[in-house]
Amino acid sequence: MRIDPDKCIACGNCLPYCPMAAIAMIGDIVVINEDECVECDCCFDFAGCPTAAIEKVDLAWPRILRNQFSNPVVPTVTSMTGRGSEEMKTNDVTNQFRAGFFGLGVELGRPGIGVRFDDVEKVTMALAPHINKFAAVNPVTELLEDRTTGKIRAEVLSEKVMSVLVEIIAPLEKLPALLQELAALKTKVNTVFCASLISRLDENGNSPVVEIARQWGFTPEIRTKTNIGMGKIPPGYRGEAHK
Amino acid sequence: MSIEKLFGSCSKLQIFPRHAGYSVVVQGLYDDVKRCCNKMGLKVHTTNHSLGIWGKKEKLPSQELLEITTMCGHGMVPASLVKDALNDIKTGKSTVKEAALKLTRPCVCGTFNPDRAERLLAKIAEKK
Ligand code: SF4
Ligand code: SF4
Repeated sequence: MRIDPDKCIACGNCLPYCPMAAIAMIGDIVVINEDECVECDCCFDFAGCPTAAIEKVDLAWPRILRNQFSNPVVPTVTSMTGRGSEEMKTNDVTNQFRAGFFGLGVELGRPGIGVRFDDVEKVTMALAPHINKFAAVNPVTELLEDRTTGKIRAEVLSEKVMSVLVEIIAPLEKLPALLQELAALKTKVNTVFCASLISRLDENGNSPVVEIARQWGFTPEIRTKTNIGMGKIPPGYRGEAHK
Repeated sequence: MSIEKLFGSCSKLQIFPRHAGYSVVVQGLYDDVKRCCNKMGLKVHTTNHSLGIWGKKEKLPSQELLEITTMCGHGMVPASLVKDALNDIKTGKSTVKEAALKLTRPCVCGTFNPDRAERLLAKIAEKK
C-alpha cells in the first residue's frame, strides 16, 4: 500500500484504520511504513480517503504473502484457502484427530499485533521434533522448506502478516514435551500467541489432554469449542486419517 | 461441511436438524455442553481447549478495548479505531450507535456484533 503525496491532503482520516499503526503523520505529510504494513487493505477499503490518495501496489512474491495472511477475503497465493484447516470442526467426519493423538494449534499475531515469519519459524522448529505431522491443509505447512525440521523458506522470513496459524498432530505421549516447548516460546517470540489443544473425547466425554496440561502448569479454559458428533460420513469418504 | 452457531440454550440446540449430517460445533462451558448433549442422546466427539494468550502481552491494548476489537476474529478492527470512535462520541461528532456501526464495517465476515459494541462503547464513554 502507498499514499500518493500529490493527492494526500493530510486529513488524518486513514490513521486509525490501520491495525498495525503503520500510517503516520510526519509534519504535514502522511506516510505508510512499508516494513510494518501487512497489506491488509483496511485503509484502502474502509478509511474513505477524500482524495483517493491511498493506492494498492502490485505485490510480488514473497510480499504478496502479507496480503494473503492479512486480508481474509483475498484469494490465497499458496494452493490453500483460508488461514488454517477445518481442524476439529469436522473431526466427526474426517477422523483427523484419533484416540491416542492430539492436535495443537498455535496462532501467532492475534489479536491485532501481527507476526513475522521468523517468529513463526521459532514455533515450527520447536514443535517439529516431537510431532507426527504438520496439518496438511494449512498455508503455513506449505511454506515449510523442510517438514521434519520445521524450517521455513528463507525468502519469506522477514515478511510481516496479521496472523498465522500453525497446526500439528502428535501422539499423546509427546504432549508434555510439546508443552515444555510452548512454555519456552513465551519469551522467545516478539508477538503474542494463543495455543489450543484438540482431542478426541473418550466414551465418557473426557479429554485426555486436560489433566496432562494441568500437570505441566497450563490452565485449559473451561469454555471450549465442542464438536458434538452430528456429522455423518458421506458414502465413499475414507477420512483424513486414512490418507 | 461444518456449521458454527451459537445456541443460547440447550432447548435451541435441540431444534437443530439432526438428520442433515452436518458437523456441529458448540461453544460454551464444556460441562454444560456435555450435559445438554447427553440429554439429547448425543455423544460429544472432539474438543478444542484454549490454553490462553502468551508472549509479548504488553503489546496488547487495554482489556476494555480488547473486548471490542476481538469481536472481529481477523483483527480488522484496530484499537486505534475504537479510540477514534470514543473520541467521536465525546466530541458529539457521532452517537454511540453511529460509532458502533463505524467499527462494524472493517469486519468483512460480519461476526462483529454492533449491539454489543454499542453497549461496550457506552460503558467506556460513561467512565471518561
Ligand atoms: S494496508 Fe493495512 S497495514 Fe498497510 S497501511 Fe493499510 S491498513 Fe495499515
Ligand atoms: S485519508 Fe487520504 S487524504 Fe487523508 S491522510 Fe489518509 S491518505 Fe491522506
